[in-house]
Amino acid sequence: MNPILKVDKIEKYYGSKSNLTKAIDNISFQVEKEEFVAIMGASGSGKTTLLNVISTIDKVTSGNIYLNGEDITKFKGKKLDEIRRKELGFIFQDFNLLDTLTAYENIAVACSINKIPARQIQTMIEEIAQKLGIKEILQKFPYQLSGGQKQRVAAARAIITKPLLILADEPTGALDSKAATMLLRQMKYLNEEEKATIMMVTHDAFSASYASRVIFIKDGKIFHEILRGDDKRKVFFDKIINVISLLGGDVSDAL
Amino acid sequence: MLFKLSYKNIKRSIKDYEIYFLTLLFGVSIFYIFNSIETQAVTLDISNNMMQIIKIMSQVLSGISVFVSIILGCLIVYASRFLMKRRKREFGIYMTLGMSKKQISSLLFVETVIIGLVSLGIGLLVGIFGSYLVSGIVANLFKADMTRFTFVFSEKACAKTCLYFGIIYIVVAMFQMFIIRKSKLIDLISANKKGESKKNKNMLCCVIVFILAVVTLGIAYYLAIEKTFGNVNGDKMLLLAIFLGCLGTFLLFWSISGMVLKILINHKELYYRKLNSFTFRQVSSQINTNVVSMSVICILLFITICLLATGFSIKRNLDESLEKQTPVDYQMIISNDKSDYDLEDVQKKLDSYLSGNEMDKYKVKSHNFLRGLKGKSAGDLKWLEGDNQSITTLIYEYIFPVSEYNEYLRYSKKKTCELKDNEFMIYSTYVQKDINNQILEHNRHLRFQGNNFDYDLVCNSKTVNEDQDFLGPDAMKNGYIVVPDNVYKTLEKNAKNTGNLTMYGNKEISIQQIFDNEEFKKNEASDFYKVNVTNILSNSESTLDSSKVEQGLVHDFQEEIIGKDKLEAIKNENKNTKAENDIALVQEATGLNIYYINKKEVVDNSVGIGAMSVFIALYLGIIFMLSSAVLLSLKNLSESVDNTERYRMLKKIGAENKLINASLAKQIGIFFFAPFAVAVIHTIFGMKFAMYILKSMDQKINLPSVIVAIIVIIVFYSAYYLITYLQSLNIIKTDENKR
Repeated sequence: MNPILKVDKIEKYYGSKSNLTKAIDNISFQVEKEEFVAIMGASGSGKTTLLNVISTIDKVTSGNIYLNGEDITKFKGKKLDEIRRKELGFIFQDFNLLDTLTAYENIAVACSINKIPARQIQTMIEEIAQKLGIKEILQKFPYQLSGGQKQRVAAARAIITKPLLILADEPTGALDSKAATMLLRQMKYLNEEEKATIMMVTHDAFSASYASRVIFIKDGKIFHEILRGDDKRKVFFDKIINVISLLGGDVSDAL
Repeated sequence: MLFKLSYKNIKRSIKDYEIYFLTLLFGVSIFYIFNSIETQAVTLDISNNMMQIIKIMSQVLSGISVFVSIILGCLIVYASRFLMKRRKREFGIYMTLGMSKKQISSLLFVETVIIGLVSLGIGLLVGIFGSYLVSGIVANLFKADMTRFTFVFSEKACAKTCLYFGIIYIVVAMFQMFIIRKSKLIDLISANKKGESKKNKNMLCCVIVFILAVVTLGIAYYLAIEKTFGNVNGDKMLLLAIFLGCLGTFLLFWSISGMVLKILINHKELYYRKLNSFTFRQVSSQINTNVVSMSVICILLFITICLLATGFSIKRNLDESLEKQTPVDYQMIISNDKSDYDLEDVQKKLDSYLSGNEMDKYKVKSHNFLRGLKGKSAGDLKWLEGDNQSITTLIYEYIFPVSEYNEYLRYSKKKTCELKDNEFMIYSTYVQKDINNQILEHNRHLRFQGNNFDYDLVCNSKTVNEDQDFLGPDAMKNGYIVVPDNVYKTLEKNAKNTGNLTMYGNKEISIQQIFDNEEFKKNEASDFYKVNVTNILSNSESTLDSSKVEQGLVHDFQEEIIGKDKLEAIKNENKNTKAENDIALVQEATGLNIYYINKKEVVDNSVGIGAMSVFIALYLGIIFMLSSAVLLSLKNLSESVDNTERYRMLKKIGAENKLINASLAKQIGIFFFAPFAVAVIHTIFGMKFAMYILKSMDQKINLPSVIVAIIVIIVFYSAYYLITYLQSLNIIKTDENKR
């Protein structure tokens, strides 16, 4: 079976010839269907750039990215919008909810953009809201919601169109630990029960320990990769911490 | 140091200052242009009379300038307050760095001075060049040729502009100081963290307020149209109508966004299509947070449309009615109100005078007719109406015999008319026309009754004629009737001092009721006077020397009839009294009423009034349009940051550019055209009101002019809409590229 995402020798340079920064320096990896992958790295390691190029927000300098077998680095404009709309779902650190819309409408916008008929939207939203436990807050505006609730609404928006791949950028970054745990559990639930493929970028070992595989990035290169296998989450967490300590002192803030 | 910091601040936030600066610049240049018209006109080849009118016009314009400067002042203070809000954080940082409030105030003062001076300088330059354009309009309106095209600089207008704007800048600076003084550091520092407390309006509340708004507007419209005219408290009613109109507009915008949104949400198919839910929510929240500025924009637009429409209407009407009002070059009217002079004699003397003074090279024609119902004008009748008396008589001032009237029609190359022995014709315009038509509906009889005669005439038409003309403006206004010759002869015979000559309009309703009225008796309603009118038409080659004719016809001729000695005596006797002119003086002393209408003068006045209304309309119209444009721009600027963030999110979740652009176009469109639509509704009623005013000024609303005015505004407004849309689009695009 084809992998959902195949990243093949991609590079991303910034700056001019005299002052070149390699944000991504020859990275290759794959994400299989129904996998929950975490990308870890310190700030400046290139993980956000990696997410940006995968999510088609940014372009690679060289190399190819295959999404479901299609090379998305070759696409432009409208086709990219279409890919973002149909194949990708996003969860951002700062939620990125539209503050003028209610939670319900925020989720519905993703559907309307995908030209889903209005009749179906309601049942779809009710179903997903049930699963994520946000049914009671659907008619509220973002400013009336807590961070955790906002992020769950964002998760619902990302998942409702049943995308191939969900990209999460530091989803717990703006949450307190209780809300973060709750969100991560729900992401795990989405991954295990709803068969969603998730790629999460984080610098937080606790968040990463919920994934089934963790890829470590340092200075634009893949530094290490560990699989969770049948380990308990606690054990996996310790393994991650070990790798981080190997990454060097400069990433001590990763904890 | 302070100067440098100020300079750099302005340079850095040039984008924010753009609108502020442009507002000042346009304000200054428009102010200069309209205040320099007099100076402009001097260079043009314009007659003395015209120059006089331009002088009056520039006085009126300078009066309006005070009002305009108040509007501009408010606008500039509003814009500066807006900029201050955006810079709160910056001031907060200065204060944390140890700057005192006083220093910040002086920093702001220096900034205001720099911007003020630069905008004043550039604005004046723009104004000086822009006044060329206005010279062209002046020349066109005043029908002068612009062969001599010289560079003019009006020092007076320049000094005035500097003074007025100087005062505005001082007010702005004081205002800024006041704001800085009362601000707290914590508020300044945390200014960027927006307090998102968007209240969701209660639906029931919205509906109630909406109904209230509609009722309020209804009352305002009703008051403006029905209660302001012919009412003792008319002006108070008008003020009340204006107040209620503003209040209603405000309530309407307050309630409408919530209501419309609620209705749309229930239309799921529409609401959840494309980005509609986003678009509607955006518009609704924009309207919610901008109720005041939307109401103000709406009212400004309304005033602008009304001003332009009325101004253009007056101009067009005057142009159209000019020929009608002045069928001949010169018209001399002699009426023998109370004097002992015999009009036959007077006319003979006039004829001999004219032939003896080279006047015979012009086409001269004299007509006789009667003048009656003196003082019975529309105003008096209003008063009668107020006393619960219904109007029962036709209103006219002059009576013509049909033969004489036909002769005149032939003379002015018009179709003659026919009249049966028991018929009469009636001509009147404007207010009188309506009243007379109402009367004709009930009763078409007109009865002349005296000691030895009794004529009962029937009107030969169902409604009043209005397209014929005979005399100049006076008769046009007051209306006249044409009767069979024999009736006229009898009336004429009994004309002088016929106390028993009564007029009946309606046999059923006792006319005596009206005649018993003290006020009406005073106006000597039952008297007729003989009148002679002499029309003079110049040959096509020779133009009439107005001053010569004036001298000849009025002064010399007066001398001829009254006698030189007596005339001198009258003048000497009344040296100390303030009679308007010699003519009025003589009339008072002798009872012989001689006056004249000079076509050129009428034309000049008409052109002048037309030009004046156009200029006033343009001046205020431009200022109001500028104001609403600035308000819209500031609103757009204030939301661009928030909105950019929102569009970025939409883009991230995969919304196509096409969808986003369409949503943006819809949002701005609704925001622009909602006030416009309400303003147009206001205009329908406002124009009704204007119609009454114009009617009382013998003018009417000219529908094409109203349409032209609306089209002009739509064109400008749409252009502005397009610019705003493209600008917003650009903000989103550049933001995308930056990433």
